[in-house]
Amino acid sequence: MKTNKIMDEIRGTIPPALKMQMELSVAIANRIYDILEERDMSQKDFARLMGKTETEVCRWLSGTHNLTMATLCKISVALGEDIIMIAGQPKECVMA
Amino acid sequence: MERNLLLELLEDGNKVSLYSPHFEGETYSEFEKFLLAYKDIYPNDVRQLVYRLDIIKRDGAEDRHFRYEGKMRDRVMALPSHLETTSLRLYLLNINAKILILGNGGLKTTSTYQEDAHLNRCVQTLQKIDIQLKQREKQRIITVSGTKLLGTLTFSIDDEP
Repeated sequence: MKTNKIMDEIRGTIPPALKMQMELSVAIANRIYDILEERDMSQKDFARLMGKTETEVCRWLSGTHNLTMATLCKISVALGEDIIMIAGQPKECVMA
Repeated sequence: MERNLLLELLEDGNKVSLYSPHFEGETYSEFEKFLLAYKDIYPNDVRQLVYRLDIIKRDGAEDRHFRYEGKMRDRVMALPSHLETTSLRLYLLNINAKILILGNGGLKTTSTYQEDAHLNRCVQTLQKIDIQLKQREKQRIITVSGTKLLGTLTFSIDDEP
């Protein structure tokens, strides 16, 4: 696969923790998006459910937003679905 | 002033390839110029942007990962930075969620890009390329084959704002 020299140099400076943070953000956004797709729920309806604007919800789904724990929990409860799971803990502890 | 450019392939990926306009007579493509301009001033933003592109190359370039910019009729989008406080913006063309033509960009300190001369020029350059690209796709002078652009990838655009 062809890669770009300047991008490769920058890649060499990306800390593993930052990569993990970005992967998690994308994974969370994808999880929320998949749940909405399964329910055939529009972003507009989801925004209404959460009491937020469509712009804000769009930002959540972009994978570039740093969602707070509080917001993640509100989304989980509103959708009745786990968004994140903690390694090593049974499900009941997460959605008690 | 008319300027010639080549849509240069920067990187190919499983689901998405990255191209960038490279103006004749210049050492670097537009995206490379953007990276070089900001990698030392805002290193974290640029790292995040590059890794974001890696994720997109691997997973796909669905619209929801970008901000819509430009006009309704064009394919101009933007990538914001991720977690830092700066408003670094990269402008690009998203072709069928398979090819990204990465342009230039900068810090967005105004409400709209039109209010910033540099950002406005970045967007207009991509819009001019998009118009010609669509014409060539229609005429089959350029075709999109998977994640590749095939055909005549040299363009001439009026680069005046």
